[in-house]
Amino acid sequence: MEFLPLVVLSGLQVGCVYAMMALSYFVIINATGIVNFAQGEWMMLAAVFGAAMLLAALPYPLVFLASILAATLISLLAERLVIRPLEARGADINILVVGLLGVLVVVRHTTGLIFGREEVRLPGPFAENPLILGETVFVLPQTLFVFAVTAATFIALWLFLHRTSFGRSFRIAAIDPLGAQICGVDLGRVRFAAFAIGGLIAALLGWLYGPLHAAGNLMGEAPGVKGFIALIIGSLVSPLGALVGGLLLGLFEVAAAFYIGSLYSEAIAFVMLMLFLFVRPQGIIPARWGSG
Amino acid sequence: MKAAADQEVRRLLDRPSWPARRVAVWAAIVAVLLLAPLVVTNGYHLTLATNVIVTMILTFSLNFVIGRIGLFSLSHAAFLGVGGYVAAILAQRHGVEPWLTLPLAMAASMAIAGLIGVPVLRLRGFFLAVATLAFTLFADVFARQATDITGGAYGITNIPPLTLFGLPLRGPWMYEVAVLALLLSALVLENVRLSRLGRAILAARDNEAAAAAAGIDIPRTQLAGYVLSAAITGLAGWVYSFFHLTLNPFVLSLDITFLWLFIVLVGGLGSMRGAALASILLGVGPEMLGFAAAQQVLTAGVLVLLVVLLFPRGLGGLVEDIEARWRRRPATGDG
Amino acid sequence: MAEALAFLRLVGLGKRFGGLTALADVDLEVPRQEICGVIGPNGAGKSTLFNIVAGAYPPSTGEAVLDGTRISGLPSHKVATMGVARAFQLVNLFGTMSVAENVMVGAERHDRLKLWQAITHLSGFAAERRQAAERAARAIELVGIGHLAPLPVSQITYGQQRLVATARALAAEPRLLLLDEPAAGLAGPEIEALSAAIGRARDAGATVLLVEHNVDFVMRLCDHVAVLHFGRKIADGPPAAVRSSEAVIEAYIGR
Repeated sequence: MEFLPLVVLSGLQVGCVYAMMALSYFVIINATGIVNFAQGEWMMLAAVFGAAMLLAALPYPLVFLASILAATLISLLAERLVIRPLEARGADINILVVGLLGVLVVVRHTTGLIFGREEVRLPGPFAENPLILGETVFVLPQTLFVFAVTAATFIALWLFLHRTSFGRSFRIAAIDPLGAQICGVDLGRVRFAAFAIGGLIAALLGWLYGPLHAAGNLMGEAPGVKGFIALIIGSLVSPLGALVGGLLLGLFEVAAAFYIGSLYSEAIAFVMLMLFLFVRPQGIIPARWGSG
Repeated sequence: MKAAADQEVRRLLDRPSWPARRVAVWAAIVAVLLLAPLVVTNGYHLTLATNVIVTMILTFSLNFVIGRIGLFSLSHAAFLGVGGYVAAILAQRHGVEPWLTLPLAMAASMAIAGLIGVPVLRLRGFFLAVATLAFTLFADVFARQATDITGGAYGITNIPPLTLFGLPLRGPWMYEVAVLALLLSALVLENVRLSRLGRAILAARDNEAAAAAAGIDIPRTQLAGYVLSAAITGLAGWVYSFFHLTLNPFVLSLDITFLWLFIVLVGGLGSMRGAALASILLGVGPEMLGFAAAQQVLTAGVLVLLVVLLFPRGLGGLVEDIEARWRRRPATGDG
Repeated sequence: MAEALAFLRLVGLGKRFGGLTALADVDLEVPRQEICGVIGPNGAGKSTLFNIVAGAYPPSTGEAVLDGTRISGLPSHKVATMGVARAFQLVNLFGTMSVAENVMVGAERHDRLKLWQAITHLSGFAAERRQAAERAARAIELVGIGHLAPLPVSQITYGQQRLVATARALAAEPRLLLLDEPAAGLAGPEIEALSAAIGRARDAGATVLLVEHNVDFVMRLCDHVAVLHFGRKIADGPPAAVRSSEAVIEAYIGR
């Protein structure tokens, strides 16, 4: 019982990772209707580029910014080269999924070819000394960083969607693409912005998750899938859903791993997914709440 | 005059499924495959060929599910794993006669497919893909963690080989077993394609409302197809176990799942011939070029992007176009 | 002496979509082997009536009864196994198949899966297929699209596609044939062929209920005509009587 605060902290930390990933999926789904399976890879790219540049002894702030920028740019490249032509052709949804999986594989393994497939340490922006909060409770600065960045991202996105005019056209495009076009919203721009924002969030996540786990070309696999599962659990149409779904999944997973065993913690994600898909496919958060 | 036209229509609809020409072509291909070890004696090449054959069984089955039934299911690796592990565990740990493990392995795959199929097949598009992918991930983790059952990351080793008249079947003999399994799978899938059930499956894919109006119980029909494909996949798993004589969670990795998926797409969705060609291309090509497993998937990924963007009908479509030009008939996508 | 109930009976059929009442309290009796046409101005509720009887969705009130058994509210494929065949307004053909294959699917009996038969091509496979091919070929002849049989449906005209949909419904040799605007998009000779095909289907034992815009077509072909207006039935009788009914004329011309 004395470990409960630790379990909760750890669960929330993992949960924030899933929530951020879910949010990146959300932005793209709502603007374009596409589930971009490759989101996890942009996270990976930022982390791997970051680790590589740090090994080349480049200054930390520069590395931080450059790696995120590079990952976001590559995600936009994928949108331009793969998704846009397929959409323009009105391709069957299954073909689109395969195209995205193709992008995922190409990015993941080309990175493996170039940078090698070992996992490397990625230092976080802060010192590594844990802060002692109680007898058995301690927290890493990186954890606080994760919480802070997650909160900031969600707030920033909310402000964007509700307080800026472009953000408003974003929401309109999500709800009614045809109506939006009639109102003069440029759907192409909206789509581009969606992929940019989604890519950016995923890239940022590379610096949240990377220091916690390790940077390697395969690191995008688990968070990529679980991020989408978290969104389904929370609500496909609401950023609040991304947050709630992510945190819940993280908490359950860590709790299960701690109290039952790691075998079951993986099963948790699958079980929760099935549960929600069949019992409450619209997710936890009702569509009217949060903003969609 | 009219009677002749009617006859035409009846002939069109009631054609024999296996005319002499077709039987001859298939028999020739099978004969070549079966006799190949007489010519190709290099053990490494035979191993490669056997791997390609097993991949082909898998991709025929996957092509059937995604291309014909129209369900984007990514849990085929899990079904192969179930078949393979059940066979391996029964033979190695419980001393069950290896041949006997075949129906048991297939039954196990079918049971799992039936179990997850009932809820999962109601989903569509991205949701079906994610749910089935999550199941494969779960199977992978299960295989790695439930060490008592599956042997963990090391898997099951020292699987007793199949025997025929006291002779253990290894190497070229397992190649022959694989070819026979391939023949069986292809025959079953072809027969189903040419049957009322096969037409019902295509109808359900093309237009659900009209298919239901014609009396087709779509969920039941799709589940039947899904379970059938799982049976074939289980067969592939069985062959895999007794060919490699060792089984570990490698087959359950996402890379392999993606590789098989890409092979089906490169071959052209719905085309069995295409799946065969793509299996050979992606099974042999990277090997010949000295690529490791990860680069094999990468090659497949690049090819699939090219196909999806530029040649949507894949290798099978190319072959069909060549054939159609040769016979000067329009291609109906029969693959 | 007990009066025999009509083969197809619509009893108090009504449908509401949210606040909109598409159909209200419609009664209709269609005796065996009769061709009954339902007409009315746009928005009269014809398609709604058709869809309910066809099993696309259940009624809000009332029911449709076929030969003593309720068919409204049943799932679509169950309705088919009761001997009902339908051709809808939207051309619902199977896009990757040929004309002949489309009609073949309509001709085949799909009530039992018969997996073993499908895998082995034994257990009566050949006999079943021959019988289905016979039914399909007859339907193709009836509708007059024999020359289109081998073509992929993506390569024929809209009017021809509608004929294929009708042939597919006929191929089931149904007890009840439901057709939603079968003449739409057809040219003169095609309409003749369609009329003849429907008549022959009736002679072979089918009862027909069709919904149409083309009033001439309905008046010439049908034994009995019902007129809907704003979701209610305003006339029901032989073509001549309906044609001269004041209520009907008012409805069509408007006031």
